Amino acid sequence: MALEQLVFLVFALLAIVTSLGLVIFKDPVHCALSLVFAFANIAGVYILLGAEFIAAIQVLVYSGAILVLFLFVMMLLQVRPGPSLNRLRFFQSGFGPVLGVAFLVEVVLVVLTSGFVLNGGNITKPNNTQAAKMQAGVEYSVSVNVIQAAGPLTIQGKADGIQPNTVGHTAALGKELYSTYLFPFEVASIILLIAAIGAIVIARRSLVSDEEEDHPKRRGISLGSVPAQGSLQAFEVERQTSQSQRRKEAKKRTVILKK
Amino acid sequence: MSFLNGILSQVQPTKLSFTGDDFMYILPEFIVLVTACLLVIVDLILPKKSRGGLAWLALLGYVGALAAAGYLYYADATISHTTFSGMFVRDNFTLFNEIIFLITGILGILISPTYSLKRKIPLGELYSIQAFSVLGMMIVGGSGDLMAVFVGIELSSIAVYILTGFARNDRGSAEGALKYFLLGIMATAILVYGMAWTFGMTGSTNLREIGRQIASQHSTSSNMDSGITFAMLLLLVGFGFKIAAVPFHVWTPDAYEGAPTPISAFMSVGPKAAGFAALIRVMVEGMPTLSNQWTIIIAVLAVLTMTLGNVVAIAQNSVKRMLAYSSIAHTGYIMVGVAAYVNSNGVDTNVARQNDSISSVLIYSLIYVFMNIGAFGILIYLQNQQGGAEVDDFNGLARWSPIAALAMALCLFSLAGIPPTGGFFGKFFVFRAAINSNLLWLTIIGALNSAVSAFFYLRVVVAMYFNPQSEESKSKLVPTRSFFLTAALVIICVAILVLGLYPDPALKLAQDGATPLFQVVKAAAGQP
Amino acid sequence: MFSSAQFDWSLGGPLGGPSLLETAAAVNAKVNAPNEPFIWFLQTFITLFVIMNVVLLTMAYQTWAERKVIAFCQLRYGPKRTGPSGLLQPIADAVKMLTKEFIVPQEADRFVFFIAPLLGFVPAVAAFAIVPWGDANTEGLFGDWIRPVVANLNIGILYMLALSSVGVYGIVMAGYSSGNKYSMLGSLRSSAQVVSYELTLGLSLMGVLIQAGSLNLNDIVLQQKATIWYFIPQFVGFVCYFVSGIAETNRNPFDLPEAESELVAGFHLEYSGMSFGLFYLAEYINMNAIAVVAATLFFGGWAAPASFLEFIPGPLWLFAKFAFFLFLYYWIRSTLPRFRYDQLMGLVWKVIFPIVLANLVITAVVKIVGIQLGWWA
Repeated sequence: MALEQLVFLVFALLAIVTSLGLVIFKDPVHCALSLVFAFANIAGVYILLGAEFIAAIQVLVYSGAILVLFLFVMMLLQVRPGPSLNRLRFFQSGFGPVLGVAFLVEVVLVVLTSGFVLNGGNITKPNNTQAAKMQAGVEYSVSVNVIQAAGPLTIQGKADGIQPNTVGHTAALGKELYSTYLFPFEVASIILLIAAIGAIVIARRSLVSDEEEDHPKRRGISLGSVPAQGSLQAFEVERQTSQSQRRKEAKKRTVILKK
Repeated sequence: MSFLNGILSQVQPTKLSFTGDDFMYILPEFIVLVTACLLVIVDLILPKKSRGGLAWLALLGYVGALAAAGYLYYADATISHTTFSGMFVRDNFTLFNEIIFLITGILGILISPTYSLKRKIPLGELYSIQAFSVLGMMIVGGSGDLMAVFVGIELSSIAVYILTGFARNDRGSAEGALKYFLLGIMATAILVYGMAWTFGMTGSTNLREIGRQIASQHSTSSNMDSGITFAMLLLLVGFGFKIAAVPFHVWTPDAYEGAPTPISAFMSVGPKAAGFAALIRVMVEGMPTLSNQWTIIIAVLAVLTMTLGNVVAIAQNSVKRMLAYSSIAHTGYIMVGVAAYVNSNGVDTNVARQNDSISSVLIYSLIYVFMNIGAFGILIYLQNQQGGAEVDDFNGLARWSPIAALAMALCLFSLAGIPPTGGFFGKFFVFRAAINSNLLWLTIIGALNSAVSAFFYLRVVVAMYFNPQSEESKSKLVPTRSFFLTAALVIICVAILVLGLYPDPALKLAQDGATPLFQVVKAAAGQP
Repeated sequence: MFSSAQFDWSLGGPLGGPSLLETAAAVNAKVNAPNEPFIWFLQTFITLFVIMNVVLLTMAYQTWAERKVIAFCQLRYGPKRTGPSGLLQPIADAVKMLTKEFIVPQEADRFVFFIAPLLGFVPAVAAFAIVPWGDANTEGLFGDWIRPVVANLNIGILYMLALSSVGVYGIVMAGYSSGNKYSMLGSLRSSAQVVSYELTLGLSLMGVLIQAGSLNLNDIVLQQKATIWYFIPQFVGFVCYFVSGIAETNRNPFDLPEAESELVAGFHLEYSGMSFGLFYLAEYINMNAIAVVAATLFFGGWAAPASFLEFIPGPLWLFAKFAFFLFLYYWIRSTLPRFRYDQLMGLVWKVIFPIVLANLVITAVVKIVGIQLGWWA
């Protein structure tokens, strides 16, 4: 067995195990940590495929930024462990796994019966990835470069398109991103822009003044400035008033204690 | 300029990122983008009192984009240009979709201000995010590549998730936004998985290249590859969610009811039309060889969607929720048009018949924009005046506001498909396409559903014209005037009548719009 | 300013000599020795062994040096009892830590509590794998048994940033698993701080990347050797990098996560014995990593400042520059008071972030325009 395959197996198995852990663990924090390890292992698989840039970005963005924020939120909200698997509703505990297994079987069947165009149609055969072949003789830092064919418009992942390249694929990727894929790349940046705008609009402090206005019919339709009975706003107001009361009481108590 | 060109060539010695022509062909999109960015910036600078002017800025942007699209059409009506390395296609299909989306944007702006000001919804951000959403839809409409489809759909969806949650002091809004968001990202994940399979099977993300690859694989072996079918199924699920087809509709009622009403109006037409544009682009351009498979699936989904939408709508007391289910039902009607793409009596490639099918989808989407936003517009009018959104709140509307009642009646008749409104012609074209494709059973189910739908639409009409207004509702009446809302309703009524009485120009445009797709299909199959 | 070296657009070599492609191929032929994988592994292992020991020894004596420097600043003596001038103090500390009991609090989440120190420690050490202490394209010591760099990665800087971003897990998990609210608060502060400063840490290096046209640390050193140390053209980037680096490692004046007057000791409050020792090690090694990368990316790494000084070997140069940065760390620690939390976040988002973005844009524009106008090739 070639060394790459051994390493691949280790990464792949670990990725599967940790992904399962993500689903199975009860404590959400454990789930998130499991996901971190899954991402790290997938980054390992990317490196084996010669996609070192993607691997680094995977760790940097997903493990390093997104999941830290997840954990951050979980710690702030003090998320408690959920119910164990057998105490969930039937739809989740009984039906879900069955559906999942059915889907898995379906995917496996499709993989076995269909021919992929990528990599000369041999992607499912063992010991055949071009990257693995390239890597066999070269250091892992030296990667393969997908060369742009003359006519077609997207990356041609066919066997003849892959050539050894010692500058790594980072430069090639950058050039592709800013030429062929410029349009979706820029649109993706717009998506980030509106996500930022939206987050700020929704999360910023309330602009609503406290004028009183009476509307009996509310039924899920926003009717302006007064916090509807039972709305988040109302809870917030209630919480703040009770807090300030508590603070006052605490002050009184300290005064008494001092005396 | 030569200096700049020199720099560009230095950056990219082998291949330029884009050319001036590319830029020219996305002019409408670019105008909308600039408008959206300007709206945020101007909102920051303007004093609070003069922020009403933002609506004019937004309208100016949309009208400018419409003018640019029209200019490109009249400059060369037969063009089919791929730009940005095949990511964006400028053809008549793009044009027609841009018209739909820009009109949605214009009407969405017009119906927003009074309602939003009353509820302290920040207008500058509202307009801006709405414009970004329209931009996303326009990108979907003109996409020539799975990546462009994906980023466009994401741009429009994420914008709408945000808009749904805009009424922050309202629980329903937050609930709707959260449900929409969580189910939406799930659907996106499925969509991306489908795209990944498509890429794996065909080696390309370009729709034309995908079509070519599938056709050549099909010609070498008699069976279709299971992987491609699998990819197609995943894609259908993803698009089914975006157009709110049953059984992927569960988010719809809560999101529509929870969102601020102008947003409900906007999201019930815009993203839906964008979903159909993506569906047609990917299925017709990318997978015409598989059309026997996907038309059957869409036909079955259409039956489910129509039936469930109409039957559940009967039971609704909230007009907003009723319109949500009615919008699901209309998704079903439009899907009938898509299902008519293939003749069920054996394969034929009669282009005129296929063109009927796709153009019926386009023209129905256009008419649906007017009639649905019209119905929501009157609902907004009512909420502005007295706050409620129940059927009972419509009691006696004809007494105290006969014109509003008339407009509502027109929109509802149109939604029910009663002549001489535009809605009748929409249904007529869709069902005609289905009959031509020997889908008589589907047509009959559709017609039955139309009859069912008349019940709940007319219920509102009855309430408006025959029930007296309650004392309670009279006491709540706060007269408010809105120039923008009135303008929107006038435009809508005129459009519904014009499309009902003289649909030829729009139909011609829709047929033109469907044509470029078939050129692509032919090219993929290797025909001249 | 950028000299006449060829840039990477044409995939040519940075020095106008053999192209990157050729040199890397040559290195691969030599270093990888694909026919003798066993030898290759053995070489890597020995290199790793040496570098690990150097790193850990440096770390140990760095605590001594820190105490001495701070004592000097504060007109004290510092450690002087254990051995001559207190030179045995680090060893005494290590023995103390190793022999202390490892106490697990009752409320702790045991598994996470155990692995948190490891998750903090491993990424910190792993960052040293990519730092070259000699020209990676030449043969190392003793017939290449000790190579100039453990892994000459093409994505060197990204690798380093990825590791520093993973390092925060140790802190987060320690705070979460301790079952103590001070720990929790410390780790909350820390994760917010580290995630924010990571951004500017990465962005401040982008100017260097653009100038060098490579992510490979060795290439960047070679470029600097041929042209100019990057702290001159990239002075803004350097300052931002160093400030972000101090914050990233939770050192003074940004050590809010462990502000002892507010949080007792922050995230590692419940840790004792060697598990605390690992956090202690990780903090210092992270600091070393920031310093050594600063030396490599901005101050020419192993390269001598002038050609007549080249008789002094590369590793010594690297060590001298590295020591200078450590001294800066101590100096800042002994002089500056601690920031308030809102000042800390305001500094990164409102000051450093815009500056590094502007630096990035200006560097890119100047480079492209300069190429076009023929100021540099």
